[in-house]
Amino acid sequence: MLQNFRTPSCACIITLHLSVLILLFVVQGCNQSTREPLPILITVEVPYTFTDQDNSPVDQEMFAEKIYVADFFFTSCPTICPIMKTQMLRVYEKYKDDQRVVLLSHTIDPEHDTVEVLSDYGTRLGIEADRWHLVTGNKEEIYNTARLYGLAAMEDKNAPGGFIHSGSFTLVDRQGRIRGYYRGTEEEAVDRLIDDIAWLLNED
Amino acid sequence: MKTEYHSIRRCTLVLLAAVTLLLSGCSENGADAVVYNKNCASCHGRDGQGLRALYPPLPESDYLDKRISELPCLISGGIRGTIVTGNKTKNIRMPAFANLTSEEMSTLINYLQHRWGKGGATVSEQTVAQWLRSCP
Repeated sequence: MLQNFRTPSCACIITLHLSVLILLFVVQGCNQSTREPLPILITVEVPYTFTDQDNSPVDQEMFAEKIYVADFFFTSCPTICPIMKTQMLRVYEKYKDDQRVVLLSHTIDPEHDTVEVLSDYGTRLGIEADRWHLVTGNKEEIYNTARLYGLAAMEDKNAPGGFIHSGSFTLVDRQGRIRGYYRGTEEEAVDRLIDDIAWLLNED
Repeated sequence: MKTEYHSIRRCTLVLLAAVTLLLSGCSENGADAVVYNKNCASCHGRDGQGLRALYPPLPESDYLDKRISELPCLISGGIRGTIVTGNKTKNIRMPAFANLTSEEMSTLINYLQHRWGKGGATVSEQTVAQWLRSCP
């Protein structure tokens, strides 16, 4: 009798396991349904056409119905850009096979960062231009574009490399609306960006 | 009594292991790493891993050990073009770090050498200054 009481029956163990599984399923479901939607910030309308590392024109119409991540950098930047590119590469590797997601990096040093320089940079980074555009163009238009995204970019002779710029990544949804800013130098922030892109892909 | 002895011995061993672990981390995160972290880590990475073909990894560089005397000039003057390391020719662009003092340079060289080279003798500030004077 005592022996029977101490050894739970097979049916009892299966019931217990099933209960735990159902509980986990319910908790997971609750987490998904209670996630706060991403805020809708400003709508970006960029009136300029730039040129990418494949010498192809790039304008905002190409990003219609796509989720994209935009940032500003320059290839000879000795400070934050290499860290930003290391982090952006994580986003690239995660979504490079998903045609609904594109990355867009603008150089703020177009005099040095010509199409040839960007092509060499992209090749070394091992990226495809149609998945991650590195664009150059008219300097004033690029700086205006940074302002349209709500980001800082300017020349400063006293700064390392001669330029100051924001280290943020901007997440833009399929309607051209900014849905978030993420520190491009912080792994945890970019983890959040990767998650938020996944969430946006499922947004109605 | 015997149990107590074993318990103290076990605690001592755990403490020694913890101290060893902390000391081994000093060369990576202590004063020696400051010059590297400030000037080099953003491209070559905190662990010298580099970034694909853009920024070369440091552990496989033969500028450590074999060509250590060339390293101060290379760091000070930067690189724009091809360099040969081992049996590979690489097209490299690296900014110049001409503002590093010979003290900072010797700290950096010794850090690189001890962390990713085969160790070797510590290079003095005077030796580094001499190497820098003979830069091409």
